[in-house]
Amino acid sequence: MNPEEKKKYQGRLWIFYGILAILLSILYSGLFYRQLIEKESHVEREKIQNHRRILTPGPRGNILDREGRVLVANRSKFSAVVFLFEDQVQKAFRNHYRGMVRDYREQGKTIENYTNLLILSRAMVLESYLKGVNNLLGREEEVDANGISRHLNLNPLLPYPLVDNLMPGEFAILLESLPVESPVQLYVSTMRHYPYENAAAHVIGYVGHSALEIESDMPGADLKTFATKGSYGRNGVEKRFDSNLQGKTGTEIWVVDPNGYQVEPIQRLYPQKGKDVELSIDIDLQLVGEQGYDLYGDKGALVAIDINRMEVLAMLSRPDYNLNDTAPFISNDVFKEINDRQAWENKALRGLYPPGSPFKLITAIAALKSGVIDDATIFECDGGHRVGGRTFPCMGHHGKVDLRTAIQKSCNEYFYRIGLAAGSDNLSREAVYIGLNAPTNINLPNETGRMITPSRQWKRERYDEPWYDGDTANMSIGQGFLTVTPLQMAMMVASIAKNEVYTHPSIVKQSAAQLAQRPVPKPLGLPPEVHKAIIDGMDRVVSATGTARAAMVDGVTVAGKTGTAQINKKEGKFELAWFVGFAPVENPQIAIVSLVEGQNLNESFGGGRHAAPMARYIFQAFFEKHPEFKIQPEPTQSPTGTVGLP
Amino acid sequence: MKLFSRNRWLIVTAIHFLTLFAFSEINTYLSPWGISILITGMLLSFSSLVLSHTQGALSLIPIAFYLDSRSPLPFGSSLIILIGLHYLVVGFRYQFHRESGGISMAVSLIANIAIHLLYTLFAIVHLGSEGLNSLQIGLNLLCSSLVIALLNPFYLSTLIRFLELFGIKIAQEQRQAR
Amino acid sequence: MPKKRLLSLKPFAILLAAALFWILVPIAFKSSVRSSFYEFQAPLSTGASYIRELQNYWAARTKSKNELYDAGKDMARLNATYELMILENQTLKQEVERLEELLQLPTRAEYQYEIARVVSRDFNSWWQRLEIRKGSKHGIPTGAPVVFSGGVVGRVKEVHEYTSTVEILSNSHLRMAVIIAGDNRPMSYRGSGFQTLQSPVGLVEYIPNDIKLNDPANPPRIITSGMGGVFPAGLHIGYLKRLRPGASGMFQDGDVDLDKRLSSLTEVAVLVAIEENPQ
Repeated sequence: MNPEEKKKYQGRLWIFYGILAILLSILYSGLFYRQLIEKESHVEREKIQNHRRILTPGPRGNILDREGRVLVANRSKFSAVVFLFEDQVQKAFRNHYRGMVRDYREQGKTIENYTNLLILSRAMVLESYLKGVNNLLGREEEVDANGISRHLNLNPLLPYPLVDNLMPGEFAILLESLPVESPVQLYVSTMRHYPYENAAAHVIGYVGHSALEIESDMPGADLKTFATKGSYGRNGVEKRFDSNLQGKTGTEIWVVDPNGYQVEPIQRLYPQKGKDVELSIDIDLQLVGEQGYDLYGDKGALVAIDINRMEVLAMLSRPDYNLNDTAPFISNDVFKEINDRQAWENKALRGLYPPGSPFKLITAIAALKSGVIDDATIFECDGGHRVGGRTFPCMGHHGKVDLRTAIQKSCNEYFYRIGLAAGSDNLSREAVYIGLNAPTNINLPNETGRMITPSRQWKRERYDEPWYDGDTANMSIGQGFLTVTPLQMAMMVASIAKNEVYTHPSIVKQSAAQLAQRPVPKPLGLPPEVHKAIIDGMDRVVSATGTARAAMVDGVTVAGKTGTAQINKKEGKFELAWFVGFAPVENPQIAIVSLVEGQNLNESFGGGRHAAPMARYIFQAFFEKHPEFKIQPEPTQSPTGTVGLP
Repeated sequence: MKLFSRNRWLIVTAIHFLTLFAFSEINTYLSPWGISILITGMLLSFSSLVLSHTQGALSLIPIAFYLDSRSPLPFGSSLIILIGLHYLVVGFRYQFHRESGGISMAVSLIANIAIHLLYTLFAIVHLGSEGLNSLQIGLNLLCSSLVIALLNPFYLSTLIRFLELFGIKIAQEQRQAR
Repeated sequence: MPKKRLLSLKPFAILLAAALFWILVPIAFKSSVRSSFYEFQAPLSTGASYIRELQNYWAARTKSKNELYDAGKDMARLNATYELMILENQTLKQEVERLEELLQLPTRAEYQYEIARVVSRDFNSWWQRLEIRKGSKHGIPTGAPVVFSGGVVGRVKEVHEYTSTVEILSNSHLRMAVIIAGDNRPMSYRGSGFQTLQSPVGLVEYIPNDIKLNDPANPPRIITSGMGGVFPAGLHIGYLKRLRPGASGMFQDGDVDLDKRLSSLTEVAVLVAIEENPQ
């Protein structure tokens, strides 16, 4: 090459170097930009691609009774599971699939759908694992081939349940018989356990399972997340206090391989148990109430209230159900069975009934407060009272009766008269004042708001009819349009006992601070001596000559009122038996309302026979636990100075 | 004598086996204190440094099988560990003066550490890490190293003398080889 | 030069070939080699155990008459106590059987005790096993529970002709269903090795959250549940010493202190289940 040519090529070479330098500088600027400036976003993208988040719900808190006894706890739920991402399982899947493909080819068969073959091979591997488990347990479980694919698509990082809900004995057998390195692992989670089974079933409620609610403050919010289902309260305290009972969700962040299977954990926040909730229920009283109800009724409700704290001590509704049948989930059969028996409803706060004779106490208060009678007013009872063109009957010929006797004998005629004298407006006003027109707002879900305290205006709006004296007469004895819930009646009797109006009970045990913050109750509005007349009448009801003698308790003065009301159903008329009462008369502590629905058409039901005896069981149990409220017998001085036995 | 010379691995294996047996008895007595002595590194050191690579491997194979027959690890684990380490030592033995007692001691100790580490690795893979206690592994390694430090010169000279009884003159062979 | 380099690689080529060969060897061959090697050395270790016993025997022979007399007295006292306990046990057994019949409870598995001397104790950093002087010739089955006066020892892992290998409680591969004495909720137990110069330890998983260590002097006692079908119920395992939150957060994990005597056992009993007669 001559120097000229060399120079020419040298020049081209420089151009080439220039182009190369430009290209390299573009390349390096790009690299610089990507590696240093866009580093964060790449790291973030890599994280999203390679990291997965697993969320495990925290166990729910316990539900305790007022003395700290466990009403609801968590118990172990044992399962035999396979972690589908584990090496040995993946290897088994691969080998089995390859073996199947080879067999097909050797047999000259054509494989039409490789995906189906893959699904089938996985199912066969799991079937072989399950066979071992079935042999050990004597079960006949089967693998759902589509379920495996679904699980692999939706939750590949979560254990695939081979056999769910093992009995403790079965868990123990597998624990001792399966080798530690077996692909079948034992997995323990929690499920709700209700040691008292049916007791207070409607109060406690149950849980259901649904997709876990993911809180935004959990780490790895931008990552692909797999979560086991969470437990959420569906009824009763489980629902109302769900946010307290709910545990804190645990988070695990895993590095995954390109197939999405776990490689190693990089962050782990353990789930934490939820807070316990302490109810006002006293399980001793609740169980006694349940036993009493078993003897005297099939359908209805019972409520016991601590008068001073306005807390529910016992609440039951019949028909009921075994809460353990709702865990770990409610099967279709169980749901249908409970549904067919109409046992889901808590009749204590959803059942609407005419209050019957216990409402006579409101009639008396309305009449006394309006001044149309005093506690000494006497009426003649001749077995019925004519209102308009119709005679409203009394259950007997009581002769001359005053307020006390009228309450004791439950004389309808007396109450027709004083109700008509007071007028429907006063009756309605008094019922509203004591809270019968509105829900109690107890801290339980699903309390009905459809109770009726009729009035002129209400009847006009509802039926576009005027109010008749007959309506007033009916209302005076707790019949007609009136409907209340047993819980409202319990609050009513507690208010009458204290001569103060309380309308908001609590199902949770309240602290001293919470009690102090309660609003001051309204006065009932009766002078003490007049109030005493009503209490005297109620006291006589629970006496040897009263209708509620079945509620009498040794050493305690009990005041009460029985009632029998009618309800119209499409089949005909059914009777209801009521008992409302409190004790002790001198220093009221506990109020009880029991209600029994008649089961048969035209069957005679009576508060004294059916509702009062079950209240006695609770009164007895309460005063055995609190003997300080019993009437202490006067100590007799013996000649030697020792205290004699009563 | 030529027969013994060609099958010297048999004599070495027998002595290795008796040594291991003696230590298994000692370990039975030491078990209440949670101490276990492992001296396999010392045996490997002799086989790898003194014998030819074939004779050394042959002498170690039965020992590895003996260890494997008494261990819960997969059969062949000790074989892989010992033969692997043997060939590693063989590969490097030309780099140093292998007749030296100091080198033999160093190889014994290093091999023993390696065996401890590899057994730990195998145990993690096959038995899980739950039952492993690093303090205990460390203590056992320390005790084993002390025992090897005390016994290695004696074991080396005893084996050489024992082989001499069968007309196998190791020192002379090594001199000739150089 | 290249030839020399190639020659120096020869050992590694042999190693590679041998390793490949070993991988390809059938499992049946490997297991037969394994059992051959085990059976080959077994008489030696069994013989050593006999010699050890002979040593003990002769050591006992050197005792003075007074010492022997005192030991005889102690023995007589112990015998009397044991005879009394046997009588009590018989009465209790009859009572239990009566109650079981009354309550129509299913019959429990009956076991025959096969007493075996310990040949050797292999308690190293990675596993803890005993070799006992009874094997398939004595009817010892694989997986049988092994006990001693202080409770569970472990499970028979391998059975040979005249000896067996027992995996003791501290092995992480030994897993069983246990309960806390007085509680019937099953939990999982597995061994977690030896603490340095200390007693063997285990790990209990799935301990319910209501279990607490309130009284350190009187810790909860872990016993076999009997539910798993391998171990009879009520055998002592150890005491729960420490509790910590479990990985799932739903249960607790707990460390169990096992009996220190496990590391110095000289005699154990293998529980061999008695097959029920179909007649």
